[in-house]
Amino acid sequence: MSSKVPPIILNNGVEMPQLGFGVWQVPDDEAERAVATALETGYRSIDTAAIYGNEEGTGKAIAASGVPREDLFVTTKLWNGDQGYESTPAPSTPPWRSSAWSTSTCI
Amino acid sequence: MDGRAKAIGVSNFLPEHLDRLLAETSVIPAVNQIELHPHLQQHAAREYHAEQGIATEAWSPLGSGKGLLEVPAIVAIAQKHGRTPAQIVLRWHLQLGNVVIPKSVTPSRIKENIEVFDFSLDTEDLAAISALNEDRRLGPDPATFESG
Repeated sequence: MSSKVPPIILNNGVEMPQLGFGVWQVPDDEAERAVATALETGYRSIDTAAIYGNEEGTGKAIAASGVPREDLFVTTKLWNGDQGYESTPAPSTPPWRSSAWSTSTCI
Repeated sequence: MDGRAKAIGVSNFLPEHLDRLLAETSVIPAVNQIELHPHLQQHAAREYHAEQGIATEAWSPLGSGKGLLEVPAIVAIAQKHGRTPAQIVLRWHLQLGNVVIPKSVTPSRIKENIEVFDFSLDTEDLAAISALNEDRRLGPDPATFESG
């Protein structure tokens, strides 16, 4: 975990950077560049969502950054209709995604 | 649970929704992400989360460009510390214990938003920001939002 941002400890013992980078309303093509900048600057937590339409750009930036997966905290969110044990975490599965990150999913 | 998710959180849950979740499942979410900024300080929600061990995460932490960063009290504190209004508001969030996720596509602001760990607000600053609360939502109200 980067020393730039102090972590908070979640109720399951997992550490989460107290400050992260949000990509709400950032179009997919801009998201890749913005997330790349954030990672270069020292952000180690990214907040996205299936409904933002930019998980792909976000994921590409993460994959290209060279930041080790275990140093990253990525949050993605499922819209209400896509939840449920069987359907989670299905929404989009580009080939890089399942291996590129471990996610905190919000229900 | 196949181990792919490090933690489970929720977004826009009111205390009554959390009550239900806690009563009907064994899940205590790690995080509840809610609208939270100096105009909507969410005292009751933050207190409830703290009692339950749920981290509070702020969306629209900077007021989503609707004038928060031009409020005179915030500008004054920014001048006092030689920082930007956005940095002052982010620092406020951090000192309250909120998790905060500012968004920007502008490289200089992306950088500025993370440069908030080398100064702190004093009790006077915190009180001035506390006084800005209007319980005013800028985004949808979870109590009435149609999720479809």
